[in-house]
Amino acid sequence: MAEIVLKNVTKKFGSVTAVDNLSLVIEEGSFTTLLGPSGCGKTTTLRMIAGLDHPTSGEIWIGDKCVFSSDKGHYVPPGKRNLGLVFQSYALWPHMTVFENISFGLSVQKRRADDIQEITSEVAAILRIDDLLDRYPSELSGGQQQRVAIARVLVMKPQVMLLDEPLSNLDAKLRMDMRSEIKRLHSETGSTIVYVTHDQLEALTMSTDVAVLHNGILQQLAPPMDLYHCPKNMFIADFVGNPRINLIQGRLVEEQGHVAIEAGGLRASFPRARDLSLVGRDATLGVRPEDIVLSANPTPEGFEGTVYSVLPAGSEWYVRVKIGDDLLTVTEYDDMGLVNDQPVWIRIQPNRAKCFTNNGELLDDTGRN
Amino acid sequence: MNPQAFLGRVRRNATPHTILSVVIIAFLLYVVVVPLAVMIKETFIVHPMERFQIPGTLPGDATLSHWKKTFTGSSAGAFFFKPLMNTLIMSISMSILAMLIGGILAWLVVRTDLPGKKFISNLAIVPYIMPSWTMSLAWITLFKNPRIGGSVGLFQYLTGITLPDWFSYGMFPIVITLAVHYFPFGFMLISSALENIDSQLEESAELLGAGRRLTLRRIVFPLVMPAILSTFLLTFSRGLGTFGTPSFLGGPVRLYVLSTLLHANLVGQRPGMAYLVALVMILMGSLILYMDTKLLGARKSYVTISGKGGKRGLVSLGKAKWPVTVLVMVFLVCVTFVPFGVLAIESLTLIPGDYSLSNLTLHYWIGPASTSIGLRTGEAGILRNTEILRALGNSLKVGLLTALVCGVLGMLIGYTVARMRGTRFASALDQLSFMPYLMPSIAFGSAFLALFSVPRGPVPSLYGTLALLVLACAVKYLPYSSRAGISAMMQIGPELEEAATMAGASWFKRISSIIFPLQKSSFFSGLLLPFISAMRELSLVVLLVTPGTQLATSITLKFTDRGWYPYTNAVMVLIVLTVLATTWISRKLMGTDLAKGIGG
Repeated sequence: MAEIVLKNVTKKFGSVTAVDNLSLVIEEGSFTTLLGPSGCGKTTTLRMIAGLDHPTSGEIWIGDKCVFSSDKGHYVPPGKRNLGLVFQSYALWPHMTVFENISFGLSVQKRRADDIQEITSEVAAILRIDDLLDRYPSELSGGQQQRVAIARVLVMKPQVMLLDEPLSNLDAKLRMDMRSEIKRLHSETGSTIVYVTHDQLEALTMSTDVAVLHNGILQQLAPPMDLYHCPKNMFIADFVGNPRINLIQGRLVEEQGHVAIEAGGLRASFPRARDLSLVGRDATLGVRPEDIVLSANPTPEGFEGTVYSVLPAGSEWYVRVKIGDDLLTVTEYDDMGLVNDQPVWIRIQPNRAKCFTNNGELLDDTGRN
Repeated sequence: MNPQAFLGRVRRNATPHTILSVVIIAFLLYVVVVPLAVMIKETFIVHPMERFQIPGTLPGDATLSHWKKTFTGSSAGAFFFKPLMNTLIMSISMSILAMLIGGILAWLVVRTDLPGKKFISNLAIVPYIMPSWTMSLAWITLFKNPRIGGSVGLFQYLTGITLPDWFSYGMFPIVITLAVHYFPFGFMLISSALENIDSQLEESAELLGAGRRLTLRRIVFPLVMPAILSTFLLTFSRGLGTFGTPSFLGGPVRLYVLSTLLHANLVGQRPGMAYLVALVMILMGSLILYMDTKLLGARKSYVTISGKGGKRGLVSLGKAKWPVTVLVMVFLVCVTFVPFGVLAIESLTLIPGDYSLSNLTLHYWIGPASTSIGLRTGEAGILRNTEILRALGNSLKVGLLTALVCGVLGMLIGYTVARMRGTRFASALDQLSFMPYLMPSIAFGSAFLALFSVPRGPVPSLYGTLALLVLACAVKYLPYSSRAGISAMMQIGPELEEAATMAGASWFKRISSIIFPLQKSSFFSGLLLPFISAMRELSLVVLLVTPGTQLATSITLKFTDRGWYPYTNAVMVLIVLTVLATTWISRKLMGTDLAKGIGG
């Protein structure tokens, strides 16, 4: 159990900067997810924590030990960092049985045979693979391989567990099961987990904290729900959430002494945003599909549009609505019997509209200044 | 950067694979690039035995006379241009012929309902496994005419017809016998290209209404075209460096190609001109390599994209089925059993040219040294002839050591290239280890001669040692094993090793308990090709052997020169048997598929 601190870590591959001056504190006992699209530097960050890649500059601390420092020339090799890494491909050794795979680390440490036996069976029991110990990896299903990969890490009782997109090779159903298993594992072992994924839903459902990376730069570190509701910028708002947030180009206007936005046929006001110097600038209105209320009849503050298409998804309906030149996605939980090209009226739920200024940052509507 | 930071960086980067790659690159530079420099220098100086040919000079003086004599003098025709033309005619025509035979056979086996495919595929590789000049010895034995004296060939013995010189010796038989030796190349490359074509590509064409012939012409042929061109270039470059066949079949009519000219220049004490010829050959080889990678590189890739490969309908040969089968079988028997049989029989005849039963003997196998029996050679039969037995032993030693060196180097190169994937280091190592591939064998041998004939710095002169032969063979065949090693290592994801690193395993532990066990089968099967190649090698070693380090292949030259064919043939039979047995055993034991390695 240990805190992980990255100080001004930069990693360059040739002329490409994979991680750019990243400073990040991963708290002890947290389940921190590094989230971002492919190529954002999340796996590189994880590999630098593991010690498999070396930062071009910066420092990395695990607990009270400096494991890497470009200035001081410190470097602790991966095997001595007391952490475990579960690979995306599981990286099970195909020529070893499940038992040999799990106990490999213990045998490297030259532990006594009965110790190895005991620890291995104990961990195997926790992960419910104790009846598979004599099999070879090729004889296991994807989910079982996943458990073996985790067991291989758990036997070492690491301070920190690193998981690199561990669920991406599983089918959708199994993924759901494993999510809850890993989350449970976290609460049972209490160890710090650093988890890498590009799947925003995975990040939201499992983590205590999410760090969003984009182009090697940390965008935001926040608990999942904060991230969802108060994304710091347009990239995060767009990346997190499914279906995607509706983003409509518009312009900031003044409304009774505060700022409002006019975008497409829509208008939203931000009563606490009082920086009137912004008025007249371009901006983007962001509304999540579930924050829009749809009505088949005219409503007083409603904006009129037409139905473009209706996409039933079981528990909900996604309705594409055309307003002016823009197409918006609206999540509906009741069957409204909508048909294409029918006129509808929409309304944004109070305080749910987000506004991003032309540099992509969230408009400050906290009223602090 | 402060010293602490610098030291830390050095320590972090001094991983086993970086150190390994530096060592291997240095080694390869020394044995591949340095010889070239040495050879270039040799073409500009007067050698001890040349000072009488170039009046008024001392050994070691700078001179342009080698260049003048080779390229511009009145003798330039005989000393360069005529052999060059012969080489081009020989290599081009035999490559086309080999490609045609191999391609047709490949199409028949992969795409038609020809019976006995497995048998045909196995038999079709045999000519390549045999030493390249086996066929030419068999040709001489069969079709010898009285020109070179001694006995007449089996053909004349049976029919009484004296064959014309052009049929018995020279370009015609050289092209035929080389084509027969090299067609398995084309067969293997083209059949694997044919097999890899996604059947959906053809099905789509057929669904769009294209007939079978149109599909063949517009879809299949363009798709295998890169393989065909590649085969052509490969075969061509092999032909360039081959020595045995043009020497045996061209010698009697004074037909020289570059390889035999190189040999003649060295034997005739003209090393300056010899190295010049070698450089020309290496230049030609490099040009071919360049063409192969640049012109074909981009196109090659789409052949390897294999789809589901699904079952595709085979072309029915219809009425032609049995005639074609018989034809194929007869051809294959003619290029495998017949030459081998002819050599075996010849080694059993006491007086060459007399094939009556009473003339049968084991004299040349187990007879005592005698100056009164048979050819009156004073040489004991090969199985009790110490000189020959030593040569056989040397061949085995060189073969085994070469295989081992190649195997280990190949694995290490594969490991470093795979680990350093994408870096300039990795591609340098990859390309460097591939360079010997298209160096004409005999020219490569002469490069080693230039490099190791005298001590250079800390490197002793290796001339006259078996180590030199092993080194030459190992470097020459390294491309086989490094390619195999790279492709095998690429299949092992780096995570498998990284997972062990995470568990705290040292480099040695990772290699011994993860990498090697995973590589075991490809390592052992990778030993086969270098072993076989070394066992049957002549062109590469002919310039490097000394009386003490004769190999089974090179010792046959001595007997051939004197017309003592039964000895040559008996040794050849032994070599062929050894090679075939090794192939067969490793196939039974390890399921090694030779066909996979040869295409490189």
